Amino acid sequence: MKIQKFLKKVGMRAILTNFDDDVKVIRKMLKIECEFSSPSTLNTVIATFKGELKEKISENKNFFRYQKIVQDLIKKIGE
Amino acid sequence: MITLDRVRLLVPENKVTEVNQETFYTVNEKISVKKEILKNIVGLREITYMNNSFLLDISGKITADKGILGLIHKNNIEQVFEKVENTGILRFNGLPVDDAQVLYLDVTKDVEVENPLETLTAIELLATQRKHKNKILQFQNSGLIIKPHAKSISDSLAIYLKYKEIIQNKSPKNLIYIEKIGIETIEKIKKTVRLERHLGTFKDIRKAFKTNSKKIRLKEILHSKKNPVKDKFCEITSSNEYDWFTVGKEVF
Repeated sequence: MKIQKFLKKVGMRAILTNFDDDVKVIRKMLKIECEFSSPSTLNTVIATFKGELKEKISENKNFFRYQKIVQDLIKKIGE
Repeated sequence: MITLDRVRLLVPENKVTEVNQETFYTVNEKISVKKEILKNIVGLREITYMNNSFLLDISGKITADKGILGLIHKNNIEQVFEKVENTGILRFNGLPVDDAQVLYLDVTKDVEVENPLETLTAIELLATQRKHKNKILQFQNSGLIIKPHAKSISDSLAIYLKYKEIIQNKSPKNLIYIEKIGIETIEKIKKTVRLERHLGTFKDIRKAFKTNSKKIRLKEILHSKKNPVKDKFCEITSSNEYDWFTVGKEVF
């Protein structure tokens, strides 16, 4: 299956243009969007499409910065 | 420390010794303080007599002063009740901190950030990850409110720029409030983002404060060690550390 077809199927196209090269973030998004039932299923999907995913991820740098802003905010809320 | 922007309380009748009956009016079998009186009292939203109790709807603004926006917490709760007494509407039989039952809460946290607008953008983006559970709406033209789709849940989180919210409100009561806190205070909060968790049912309050108490007392809430704002914020931005799925073995 081509990555575009896969992305269309799981409705991830918009989200993939908005995150950076952070594996945890990718896992989080895949989990939420695809509602995989187990980590192994997710691992299989990531492994299958990792080339295409990496390419998509490198296209956008904003998401990592936003993730950092939110993490900093969480620290402050916890103080 | 738990800080509240707004709280609706039920104070038992026997905790009130004096009532200025002239300040009340009756409509549809409901006995409430007249609106023309409340509109001049910053921080007091409602007082109603019902079911042998007094319902008090109080905003943190009641404690506002020069340089202080006003929030309710365990260190000023007695002052809050004293301010209610100072309005001349009613007098308590000792301050009812231990007896007042909580009906509604806005648990609040003010946070200073480098770039408030970018912070809102970041939160909105991360919150869209859970769009299947929550809807993201505008909040008073100054931020966002994230509400669950499920109508049975009243638990929502508002994230907004406090500065913008204050200056956009043109009501006479807000003008009195601005006078109380001072223009220089508003200048100082230009980088403040306010996070407010609105809890409208007993079920939501119990869940947020992880309590099983049958009657939720104000004292229990104010002395709680929980952080309901942080918990909700992590939930809506999918930032929970313990999320076993997202910290799974990496395959890249």
